[in-house]
Amino acid sequence: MDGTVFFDLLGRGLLGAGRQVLQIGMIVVPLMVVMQFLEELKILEKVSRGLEKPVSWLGLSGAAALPLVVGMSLGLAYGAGMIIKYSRDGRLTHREMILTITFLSLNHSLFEDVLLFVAIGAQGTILQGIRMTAAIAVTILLARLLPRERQTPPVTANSKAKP
Amino acid sequence: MRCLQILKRGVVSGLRTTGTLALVIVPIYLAVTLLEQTPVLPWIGRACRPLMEFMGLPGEAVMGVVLGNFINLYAAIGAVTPLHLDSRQMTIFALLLLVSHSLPLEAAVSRMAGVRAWPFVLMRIGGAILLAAGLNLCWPV
Repeated sequence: MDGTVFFDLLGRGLLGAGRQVLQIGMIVVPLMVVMQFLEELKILEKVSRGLEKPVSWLGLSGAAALPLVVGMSLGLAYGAGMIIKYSRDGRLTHREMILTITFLSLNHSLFEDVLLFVAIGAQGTILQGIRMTAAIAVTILLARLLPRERQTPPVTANSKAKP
Repeated sequence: MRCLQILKRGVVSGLRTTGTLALVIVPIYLAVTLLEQTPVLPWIGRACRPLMEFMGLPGEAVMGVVLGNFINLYAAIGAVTPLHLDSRQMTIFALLLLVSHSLPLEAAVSRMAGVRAWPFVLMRIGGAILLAAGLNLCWPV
């Protein structure tokens, strides 16, 4: 490969990459604005109250609704952060924690992740439909398989989190 | 007034995210564009064709799958856009990557939440391949 060919290729590569970043930036910036509003105006709290009943179909208590909504909209790390806090406060049992994380690890950042791929040509409805269905199915299945906990929460659940 | 503040914070966070993804996408996009001119990419493509064909994808897309699982979705996008997949292929690729991506980082997050990471990693990789192959089978070309 001689010099001119290399620089020509480099130029084309940079142009293509730049266009790609711009295309994604046009989606990410407005999206982050929406997310900021959802978070600061406490809209997620309101949405999660409406979802307490559907969440119970997954074998979870209403307390899991907000971590699920946060994880699905803002991302896995935010959802997990909330799950950790809730399980320390005793609002989620160890079993519920596992089920919530299972659901979220298959299905999180719905808007950002799907739109990124829509921006490069994928079909969003198909993607999100399959991902949501799979997460619901696996969570319900796991809820049947995992034994229900005794009334007293196990001491081992948080052994790592001890100060 | 409060709305303006929120708007401002949102724009800043969006620009910061775009900056981060540019740092990942640009070098990978360049590397793949250059690799396309060498025998390396076709060689990788041929070697991985049987596995990827099963999901209706070209062998070269394996680079996007590997980078996406080890690094993140931005890396996968940087590696796959130079290949110019059609809408059907891109949707299958996206499904594969949406179910299973950024495994080292996200496994660490699950561990932080107090569960063992490896069952989740296995579930995600297995689920991703099954779903992508299933979509390829059910979706007429």
